[in-house]
Amino acid sequence: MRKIYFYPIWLRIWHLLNALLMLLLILSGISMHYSATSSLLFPFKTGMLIHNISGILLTINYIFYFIMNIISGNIKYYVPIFKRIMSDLWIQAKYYLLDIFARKPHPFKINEKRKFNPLQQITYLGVMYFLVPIIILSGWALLFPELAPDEILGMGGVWPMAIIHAIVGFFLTIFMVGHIYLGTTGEHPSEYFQAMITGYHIVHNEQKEEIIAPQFEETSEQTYNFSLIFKNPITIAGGTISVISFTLIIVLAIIDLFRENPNPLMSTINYIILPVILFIGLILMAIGAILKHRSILKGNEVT
Amino acid sequence: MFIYINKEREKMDKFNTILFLLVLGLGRIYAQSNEVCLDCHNDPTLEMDKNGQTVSIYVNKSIFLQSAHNKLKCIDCHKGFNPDEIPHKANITPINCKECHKAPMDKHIFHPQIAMADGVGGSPDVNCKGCHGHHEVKTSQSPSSPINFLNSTNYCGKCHTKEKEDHLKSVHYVQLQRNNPNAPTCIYCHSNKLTPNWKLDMATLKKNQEKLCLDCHLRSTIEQSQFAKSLINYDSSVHGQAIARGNSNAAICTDCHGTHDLERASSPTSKIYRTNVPNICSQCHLPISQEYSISIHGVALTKGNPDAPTCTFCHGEHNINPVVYAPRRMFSDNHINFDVVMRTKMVYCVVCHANETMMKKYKILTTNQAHNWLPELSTHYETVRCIDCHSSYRPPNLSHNILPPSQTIKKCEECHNRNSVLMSTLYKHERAVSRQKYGFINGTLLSDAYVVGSTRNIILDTLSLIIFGVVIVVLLLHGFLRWYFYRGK
Repeated sequence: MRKIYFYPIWLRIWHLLNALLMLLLILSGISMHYSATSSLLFPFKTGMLIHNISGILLTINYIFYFIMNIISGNIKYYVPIFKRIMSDLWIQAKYYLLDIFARKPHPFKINEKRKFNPLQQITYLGVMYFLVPIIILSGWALLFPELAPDEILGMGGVWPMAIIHAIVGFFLTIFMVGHIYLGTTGEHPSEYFQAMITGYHIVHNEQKEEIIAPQFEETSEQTYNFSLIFKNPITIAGGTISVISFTLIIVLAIIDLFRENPNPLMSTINYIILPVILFIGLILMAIGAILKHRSILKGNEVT
Repeated sequence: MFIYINKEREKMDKFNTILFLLVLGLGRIYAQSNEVCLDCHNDPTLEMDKNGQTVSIYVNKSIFLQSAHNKLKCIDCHKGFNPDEIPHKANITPINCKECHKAPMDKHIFHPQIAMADGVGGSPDVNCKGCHGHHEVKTSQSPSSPINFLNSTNYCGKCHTKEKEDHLKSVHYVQLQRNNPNAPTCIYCHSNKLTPNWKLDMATLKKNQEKLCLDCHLRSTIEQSQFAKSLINYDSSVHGQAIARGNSNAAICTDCHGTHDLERASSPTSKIYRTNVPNICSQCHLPISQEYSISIHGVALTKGNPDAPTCTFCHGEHNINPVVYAPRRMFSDNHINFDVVMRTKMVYCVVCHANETMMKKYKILTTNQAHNWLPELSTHYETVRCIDCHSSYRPPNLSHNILPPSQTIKKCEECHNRNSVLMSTLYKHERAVSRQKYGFINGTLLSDAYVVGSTRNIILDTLSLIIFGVVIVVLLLHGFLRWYFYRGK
């Protein structure tokens, strides 16, 4: 086990500030978006003030990050190997979906040459160089709505900006939740969080270090292939239900967007019944895996 | 060639007698006496041929004796006449009034061209005789003098027939007829520099005109005019300010009220009668007036609705009026903040549209009834003006085309994305709508009366909530499974 000084002080300060400002922006943004008679989180005016100030500070912080990332050369860690990107992503995804439950090590070792795994690279590249610039620019456009064109594609000029701002903000919120959750996937759940404070990344099992080709190491006495526990009828049924209902929700919502007269029955099915089915499907997947796991432990099944 | 035609022998005898006396050398003394002149000229039939026209040279003695000049001798004016000769002068020239009346401009400011005249002849507008007549000229004290306030209409009307015709209809003339000594006559007004004859720039003429009216109607010391109250803020009105800045296009009193023909507002033929107000304003504000005329108010006005508001109802007449009386309770009952609507001027809408009695009369919903679908009503009233939704709105210029309720644009999207304050308000509404939607109740609200752009947000909001929920559940399950499988290791 050794420590690599991965995160220089500017990056840690930027990251912390970015996290705090994003959190404020998300909370105030949601508060304003859903503000009603009773203020959700903040009174509307406070929310607006927080949102505006945080947004401006975030812009400054982003410019700082953008420049420092190039000067320090940190940007090179963001660029994936595009040739193998699909297979690399699949390896990483498979790890998060299956092997992580077996406490197998991360497939892509982290060291001075590779700071992010391919999924991180793609995500961070998309977030930091696509979504964040969009939300910053659309945010500034909303700060100066009088400069917006009167009409874009038959809608008010400010309207598309607001919609884009809200949608990108939503995706960034999803990213933040996922980002924080995946931060717990270290050897110890708090390991990565400590690294972002101290700057030191802890490298485990360096002797086995393999940059590109993933090699799974058995760290558990359980020698059965962990992917088996998901191969049970309940999980597969739950997964099928989840995928179908989720796809249906998205497709029906898109149809709903272009429907002229709202249909209350379809709306109820799409926004109440299908989500319930989706959640049931997801829970079924977990229940199936747990039941399978138990039966394996009891020795009812041979691995 | 002048020839006397004596039709009666007797007259000829008289003439011979005069000749005889002149021959006696007494002629001079007698010829200077008016009596002597009138001996002949008192004959109504006395005529002469002048430049081919037969003119009367009769002088009515009694009229002359009542005239302003009754103390004068004939020859004081008819200078150089030799009674011995016929005609009395070889080349009879017109009488020059200016010889005595040396400063005609002092009294005749209404005809500035008189200053240029020689006082002898010329067109009737510069010729003294045109107004004052000949031998019958009156003293200023005489009731039949043109200076007398009752007479100028008729005197001036001899030439200014159109103006006379107008003036006879006017409220000023009515006051003259009632012997109101303060009523303005032609001369009273036109003693000021009002007309283009003065060769002044338009702005100055208009300022003079304005001052003339205000001198009586606002600043009169003789009699407090009944109009003074509505004129008290005239100086601060747009029109008053524009003319004070020297804008020659600015409307002054006469542009709306008319000049000679100004009538009471209650007279249907008056330029400022209720139904004529949009026309009079359209002289300058044509596009607005056109918009108004097709608006629900304009249509109601032409149909004869006595309560339909005209331009002046909202904009005030001479100034921006203090609002017509409306009880405070009317505002509180309708959840309307009085101070806000005063500031946005929407109080003009409220005073009628919140008035249940009046609205019932025309079967119109009151403000309260018409907006009961609108959530956060009082907030809307504070941030959105009536005209924002109820006129054919083209930002930034508000329309005067107030639409009927069926055509009212519920253009929430337009307002609710202009700035984030309004945007939040829209979502307040949408939340309520979506609540109702989930409750199966509110199909109608979401129909075409509602803008497409904002209903999309309900879908996006719901979708984002679902996706967010899925992500959270997936992560929770993921985390739970990790914990579950890690247990005890």
